[in-house]
This record gives sequence, C-alpha cells and structure tokens, in this order.
Amino acid sequence: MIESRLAAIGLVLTATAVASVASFFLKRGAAESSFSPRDLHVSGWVLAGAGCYVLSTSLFFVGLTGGPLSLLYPFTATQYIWVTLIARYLLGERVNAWKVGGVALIVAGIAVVGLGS
Amino acid sequence: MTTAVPSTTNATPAGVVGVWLAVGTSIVTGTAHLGLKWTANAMDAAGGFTAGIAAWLAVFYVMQAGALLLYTLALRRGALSTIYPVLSLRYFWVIGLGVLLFPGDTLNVYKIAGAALVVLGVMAVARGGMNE
Repeated sequence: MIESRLAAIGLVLTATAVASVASFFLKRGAAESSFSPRDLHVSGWVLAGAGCYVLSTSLFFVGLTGGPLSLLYPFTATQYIWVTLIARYLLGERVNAWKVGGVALIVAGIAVVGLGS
Repeated sequence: MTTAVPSTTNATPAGVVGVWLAVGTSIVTGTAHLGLKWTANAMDAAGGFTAGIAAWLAVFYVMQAGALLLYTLALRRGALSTIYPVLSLRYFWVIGLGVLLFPGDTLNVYKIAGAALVVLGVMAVARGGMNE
C-alpha cells in the first residue's frame, strides 16, 4: 500500500518511537497496578501503554507494505535510542559510556544499511 | 554491621528458566514480525484489506502481546542482562529468514554489515545496564 521507501522508513521509525513511549507508560504504571486475581487493578498508564503498543504494531504493519524486511527491520533498533533518552530525561536514570557507544553503533549500523539501499 | 540489601534484580544472574524465557521472547517477537511482513505482502497481493488479512493480523497482534508477557516473566526471573543480547540476535535471523521467505528481499554487504553493527550496539547498550 505504501509505495515510497522513505514513507515506509518513516512509518517504521514512528512505530518504534510509539513503542518506546508505550514501554515508558508501562514502566510508570507497573508499580501502581496489581495483576493478582484477588486484587486486580490496572493503572491508566498500563492501559495507555497497551493502546500505544496496538498503534505501534499497526503503523509497523502499514510500513512493512512499503519495503523489504532487510531494509526496514534494522530501523526498529532506534527503540534503544528513544528508551535511552526517556530513561535519561524522564526517569532520571544514568546513561554511561556503554549506552552512548551502543546507541552510536546502532545509528552507524542503520546508516550503513541505508547507504546500501 | 547492617547491610542494606538492594532490592534490584540487576545483580541476580539469570536462571535456566530466565534464559529460556528470554529466548522464547525473542523467538515469539521475531516470528510475529515475520508474520506481519508476510501479511503485509499478502495485503499488497490482494490489493486491499480483507477479512483473511484481518484474521492473520489478529494472530500476530496476540503473538506480540504474548511476547510482552514472556518478556515481563523473563525480567522477573532475573534475565535482565540476558534478554537484550538474546533479543538483539533476532536482527540476524529475522532478516535472514525474510530473505529466504520473501521474493524480492535480497542481502548485500551493506545490509549484513549494518545489521552486525546494530547487534553490537544493542549488546553494548545491554552491557551498560538496563533501562526497563
């Protein structure tokens, strides 16, 4: 359905960013939820996270109609960039040299894949 | 002397069950992604959204939810330092199976080298500690 490679890549990148937001919502909601059958209460954050996952999968699916997996799949690794940024700026977690180096390798890898296509 | 015991599971080595849950998460996630691509190709071939496409999509949405559940269980079993590296390897096998399964999907040196860098990058992120 998607004809342009660039649009397909854009959709996969957006899907991945939405999935990263979803994991942030789940992290926020996990502490204030209980999944025990006796005391079931689910935080709104968890519901928002689940909604974001559904949206993310849908965007990913539409994006996949526009290019081969060998081109599009590496772009999903941008999730580690967003999760690292969310952890640093929204959760106040430490980001060390391994993480910065890892994110740089991921960006380089995606750039190499892009160059070959 | 009293010692504060950290409640974090980061330092706990993953048990056998944790490692297998991490492997299971990776297999289910990668299979769901291959399935989504297969469904996307089927939709292209059909020229639009059909009831059959919707049914297959539902299957792969449920698989993704199952993968999330396995992921949570793996983390509870202390597989924190195992799960990212195991998950990162799926960039190899999902892309490799994609090339075998889907006509028109080809590999070249750039794609292989790029995927290798991505896998190394994810492993380095994992080495730096988990965020989730």
